[in-house]
Amino acid sequence: MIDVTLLQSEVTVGETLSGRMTWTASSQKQPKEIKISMGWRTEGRGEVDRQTVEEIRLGEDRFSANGAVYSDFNFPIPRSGPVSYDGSLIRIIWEVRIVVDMPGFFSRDDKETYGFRVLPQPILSDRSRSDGY
Amino acid sequence: MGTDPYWAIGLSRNPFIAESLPEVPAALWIDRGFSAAPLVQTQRLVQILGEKGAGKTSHLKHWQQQAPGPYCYYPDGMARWKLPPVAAIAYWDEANRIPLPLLLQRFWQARQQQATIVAGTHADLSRWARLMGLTVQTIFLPALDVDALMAWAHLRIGAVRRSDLNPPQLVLSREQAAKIVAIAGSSWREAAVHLHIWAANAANAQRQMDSAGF
Repeated sequence: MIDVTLLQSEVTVGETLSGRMTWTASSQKQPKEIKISMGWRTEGRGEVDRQTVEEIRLGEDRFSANGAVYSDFNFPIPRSGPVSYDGSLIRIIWEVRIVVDMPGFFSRDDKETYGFRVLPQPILSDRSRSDGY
Repeated sequence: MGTDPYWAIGLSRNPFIAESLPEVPAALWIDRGFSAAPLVQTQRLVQILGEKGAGKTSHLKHWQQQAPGPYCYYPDGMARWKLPPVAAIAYWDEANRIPLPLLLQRFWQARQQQATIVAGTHADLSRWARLMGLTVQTIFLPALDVDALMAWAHLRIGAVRRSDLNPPQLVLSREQAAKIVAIAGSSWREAAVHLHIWAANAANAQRQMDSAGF
């Protein structure tokens, strides 16, 4: 079973998304690898575009005998974005995606995604600028 | 996912996103009178005629799931100079783009092999098919109507509802459906765009209300 806790549900471009992933075994099988990735994708009336921005891979050396794995992650959000967007025709969705690669040809990988929002940089007011901030 | 506007109306996503594959899942198929696949090995051209977005490719793909056979799409331009496949049943999409020499040769071969050719086309190919000795069946896809659109929208919305306990807060009214049919004409694709906009506006409006504490 996969569980992810994100420290932020919203993060500004240039900042870091932090969280913890926990995986517990539901069977005797140990995974070959757990991949934690962060990226964005489009969804709506058009071709899908997607990009993985950051990725962590946990190998077999990380898996304990009791079948539990956890990993903290800190993923920087690019200053160039893109920012999250919910439009009439298209959305830009940011997600943390967990894929647990299980061994065996007939085994199904465990997968979960956790959404969060990426916000633009706040615009400084003229008054703030004149105050030297 | 508390920040997702579609969660606010009981959905996991917009029901009308464009899918990456042209096939319509069986659970979301709307019968318009031509759901059964043509028979194989009939020495026949089955041509399905309709405007852009009317559902020709959807029908070809739906039939292919029932009666497997090679499928070939014809783009515009030089890439259309390729021989279409001939088999017990074969599916040609945008068949009106097939250059005439290739079309005639393949119709002739289909007759030799007693094949069934299923063609999605904007133009009537019956003259050429009969010339090469095939019988012809022509299907004209019916125009988009309000009842069909409402049934389809209901299926699509149901497919993305988050919970069986609470009904989605997105229901297409007959009045709204009629407006979309009037704009979209015979194009299901155009209707889907307008439905996507309608669902997105409803989701964003609900999220704003929730944020304002209503």
